[in-house]
Amino acid sequence: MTPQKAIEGCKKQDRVAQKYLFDRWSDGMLVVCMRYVKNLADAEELMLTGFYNFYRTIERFVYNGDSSISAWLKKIMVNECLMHLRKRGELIIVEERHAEELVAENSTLERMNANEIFKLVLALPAGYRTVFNLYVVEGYTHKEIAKLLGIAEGTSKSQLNKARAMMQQLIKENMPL
Amino acid sequence: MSTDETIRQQLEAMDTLGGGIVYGKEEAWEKLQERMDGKPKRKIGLYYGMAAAVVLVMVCVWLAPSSSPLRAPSSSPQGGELSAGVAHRVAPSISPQGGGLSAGVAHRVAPSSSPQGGGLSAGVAHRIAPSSSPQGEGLPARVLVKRGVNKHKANQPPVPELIKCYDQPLLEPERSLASNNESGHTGLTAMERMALPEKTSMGVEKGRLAFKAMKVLTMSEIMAEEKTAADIPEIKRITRPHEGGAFPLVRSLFRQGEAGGAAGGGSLVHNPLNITIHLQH
Repeated sequence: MTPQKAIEGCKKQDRVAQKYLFDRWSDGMLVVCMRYVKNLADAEELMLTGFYNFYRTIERFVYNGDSSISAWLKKIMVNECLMHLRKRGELIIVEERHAEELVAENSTLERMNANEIFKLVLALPAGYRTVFNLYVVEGYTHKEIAKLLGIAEGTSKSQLNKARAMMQQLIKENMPL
Repeated sequence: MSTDETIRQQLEAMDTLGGGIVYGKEEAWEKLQERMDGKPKRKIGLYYGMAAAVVLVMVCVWLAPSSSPLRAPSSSPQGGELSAGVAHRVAPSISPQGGGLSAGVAHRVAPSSSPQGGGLSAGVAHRIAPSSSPQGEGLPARVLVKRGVNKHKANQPPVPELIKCYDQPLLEPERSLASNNESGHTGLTAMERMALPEKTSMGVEKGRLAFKAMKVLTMSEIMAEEKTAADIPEIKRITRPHEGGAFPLVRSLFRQGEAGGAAGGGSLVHNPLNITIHLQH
């Protein structure tokens, strides 16, 4: 089965096709959820909810290569995670209207592997982590992040700066090179 | 390549959880399937719980009016008790003969120092003032005191029987209060009068529970002389705690049968469900 056929099958509520897509992308989506909520049980629940919503709204999905499935799924997962964080009241972000984005250059960070970076991201507080994930990994602009989180653009920038500063601090503390 | 770009590539390439973190993919898939099939298992338990709660409430409602007279133990050597299936609030009796003061609901009976002090409890929303007189200065009426209500056997519904009449001095609240003061003043302060519970037209204290089908007897009704003889069957009928010990449906059949026939000692009622009830009078 190819992903394209699986998408067609999912549109007909074919359970085998659904299973195929789940097997192929569930691990990656679990990692995405983990990056936001930190807790494995919550991440798994959010991943399942994301897939459930994906199958429910698959009629609207237009297949445009495997990356389109991944991008669509990731968008659903991120939305689920943000909703979860809001519901839990974990997304407490102190408003700062005026802040400039600092250019991040960190040679140590560049030399780190994926797992180390992942752990570093998980060590950030929920607010910093969310903005960092949205900006650096998902590629949203500060304007989009501000709209998504209901904060000012300046707040998004300041959160990102603080996240970077904290990461550098954590690197210094844990991996003195 | 900037640091952000490096981080993005590293994290996007990560499609499995490192550090030995594993999760049950098959179990997760089963959960997802259940959710897609719309079979919420948790709700089944909820329905069972709700059904059990409804049944429990129904049983409680059915038992509430009939069980209260049975619960009151009679320790009085002489006095039986007068019960009308209403919850009472009963003050301790300091009677030397120590009758079982027991009753159902909404009653406040003040301590009685009467030497006869038999078990007294009635389904009346009355407050009985303390009386130090052996005979009482209030009403000279006779009071019907029943005994035998608590002698409940497993297979036999308890039927109260009137066995004795006492010259028990019982005072109506207003009169008794008035009698405490020679000038006719009630003797109550304004605060005390305010503390007295208001009563509904049925004679039940406001805020208390009264059942629709239940007739509330007032003390004056019980104590009225002309009613002592003529209304014995009526009082017996009203104060009977169980009617065959059956469910409301059967009880209604019981009443029909009782109204239709039963001229003599007992009646036999047949109903469509082939339930036979023997009434004992």
